[in-house]
Amino acid sequence: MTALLRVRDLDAHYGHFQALSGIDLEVGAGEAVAVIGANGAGKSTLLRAIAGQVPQPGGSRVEFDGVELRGLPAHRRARLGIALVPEGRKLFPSLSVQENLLVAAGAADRRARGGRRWGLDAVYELFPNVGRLRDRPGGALSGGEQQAVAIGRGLMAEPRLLLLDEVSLGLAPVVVEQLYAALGTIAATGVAMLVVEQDVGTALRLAGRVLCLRAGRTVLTGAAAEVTADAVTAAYFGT
Amino acid sequence: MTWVNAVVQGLLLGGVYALFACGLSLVFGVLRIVNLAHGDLTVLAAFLALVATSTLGLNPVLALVVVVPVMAALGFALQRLLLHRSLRAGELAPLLVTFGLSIVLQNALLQTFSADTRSLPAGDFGTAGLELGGGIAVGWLGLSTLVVAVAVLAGLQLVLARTPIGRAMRATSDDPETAALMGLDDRRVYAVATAIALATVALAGVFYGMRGTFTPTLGPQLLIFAFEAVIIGGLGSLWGTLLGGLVLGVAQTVGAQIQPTYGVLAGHLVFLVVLAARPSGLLRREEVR
Ligand SMILES: Nc1ncnc2c1ncn2[C@@H]1O[C@H](COP(=O)(O)OP(=O)(O)O)[C@@H](O)[C@H]1O
Ligand SMILES: [Mg+2]
Repeated sequence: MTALLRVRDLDAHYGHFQALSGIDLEVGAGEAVAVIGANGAGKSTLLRAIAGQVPQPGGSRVEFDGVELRGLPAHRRARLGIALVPEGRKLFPSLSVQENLLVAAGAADRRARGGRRWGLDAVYELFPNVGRLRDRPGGALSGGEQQAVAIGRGLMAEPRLLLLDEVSLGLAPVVVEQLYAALGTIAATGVAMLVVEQDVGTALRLAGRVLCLRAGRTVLTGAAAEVTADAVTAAYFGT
Repeated sequence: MTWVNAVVQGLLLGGVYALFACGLSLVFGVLRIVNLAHGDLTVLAAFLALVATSTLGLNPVLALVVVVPVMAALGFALQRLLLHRSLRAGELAPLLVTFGLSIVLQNALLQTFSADTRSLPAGDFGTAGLELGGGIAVGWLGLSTLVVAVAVLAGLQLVLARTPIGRAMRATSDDPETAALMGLDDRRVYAVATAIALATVALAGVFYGMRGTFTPTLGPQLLIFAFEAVIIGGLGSLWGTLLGGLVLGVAQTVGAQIQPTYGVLAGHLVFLVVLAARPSGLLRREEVR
C-alpha cells in the first residue's frame, strides 16, 4: 500500500519545550490508525503538526500524497484534503450550524469539481439531529451535537485524511457509540483517519493499527490484533 | 418648530457620522483592531477627491469613481503589508502601528497640501434642498449622505449575513486558527474586509468634504466622532453603528440649539451617558460565548 501520509522524524516545539521527538508514522489511503497516550503525551500536537498549526522544523518530514508539506500554512493543507476535527470541537459561535458546515465547503471547491461526496444533504443524512439543528447558533448545542457538527464540518472539506482529536471527550457512552458508528460509515467511504483517544478500546473500534505516545515519543506501535492490553498499559504508564 | 428642525438636521448630520463609523466598526468587528488612523484615512480620501476634482475637473461625486477603488486597494495593501504582521504580535501592536500611521498620514498631508482649510466644490448640490415648510429645510447633500449611509450599512450587513465572504469574515473573526482549518486564509479575509472598510472611508471622506471644511490634521477629531458612534451603537454591530451615528448627530444639533457652543459637548455627554448606563452599547446583542 502506498502511504497517503508519511511522517518522518517529526519534532515539535512550544518555545523551548519539545512536545514531540522523532515521530515516524504512515497512514495508507483509506486506512485508520489510532494514536493513544495519556494526557500531555503529545497526541494533539501530532495532529496539529500534520494540519499545519505547529511549525515543522527543518529535519522533520511530513509528506501528503507524495508532497512535502513543510512551509504550507494550515489553510493550504486543508485545501489539499487534510481535515482536523480539533480537540474541544471549536465551532464558530456566531455562525449557525448550517453556516458552520458551509464555511468548510470552500476548502474543497477546487478538488470537488468532479462532484462532491459530502454536501449538506450527506452530512444531514449521516447525522439526522444536526439537520434538525441547522438554524441554531453554533454555541448553543450539547457536547455530542457539537461534536457531530465538528465532524460534519470536517467532511464538508472533502477530506482524504481526517484527523480526529478525542471525539469521545466528555461525552456519554451512548453518544460516543453513535458518533463512532458514523465514523465507521465515513471510514467505509475510503477516508483515511488518524484517531486520537485516551482510551485504547474506543480508538481501536476503527483503527487497524495503533501508535502509543508518551512524553512526545513513540513507545509502542503495532497492528491492533497484536498489541496486548498489558503491552498498552506498560507503554502508557512507562512501567 | 426650531426643535423639530434641530432633530431633522441632527439626523442628517448623523448620516455623516454613521458613514464615518462604518469602516471603523467593520475593521473592529472582523479584525478586532481599533484603527487609530481611521480619521486620517478619511481625510486622505477627501484630499484624493480634491486632487481628482482639480486635476480631472470631475465633480466630487464623480470623483468617487476614482477615490473608492484607490482607497479599497490601499486598504488591501495596508492589511497585507502592515496590519497583518502587527496582528500576530499581540493586542498592543496594532494600536501602535495604526497610531504611527495616523501621524505619518497627517504629516504627509501637511507636507503635500499645507495646513490650509479646504472643501470639495459641491456646487448647487451642496446648497439646494427641499423646503418642508415651517422653517424646516432638508439639503440634498445631507439627505443623500443619510441615504448613502443607510444603504452602505444595510449592504454590508447583507454581505456579512448572507454571502460566503461574509460568512468567512465572521468565522475568521470568531477564531482565525480554526477558520484556517476550513481552508480560509485569514490574510485574504482580513485584507478584503479592510478593503471594504476603506471603500466606505472614501465615501465618508468625500461626503464630509462636500459638507464642510477639512485640514490635514482633522483626522483625530473625525476618529472621535466615529468612535463615539460605534460605542453608542454597540461594538461590532453595524445596525448599532447606524443608530449610534444618528444619536450622536441629533445630540449635537439639539445641544447646539440650546446654546450654539454646546453642540459637540452635548455629543460627548450622550456618549458618556451611554457608556455609563449601557457599556456594551444600545444594540449590542448578548454575547453567546
Ligand atoms: N500551546 C502550547 N504551549 C506550550 N506547551 C504546550 C502547548 N500545547 C501543548 N503543550 C504541551 O505539550 C505537551 C503535549 O500536549 P498535547 O499535544 O496537547 O498532549 P495531549 O493531546 O496528548 O494531551 C504537554 O506537555 C502540553 O503541556
Ligand atoms: Mg490533546
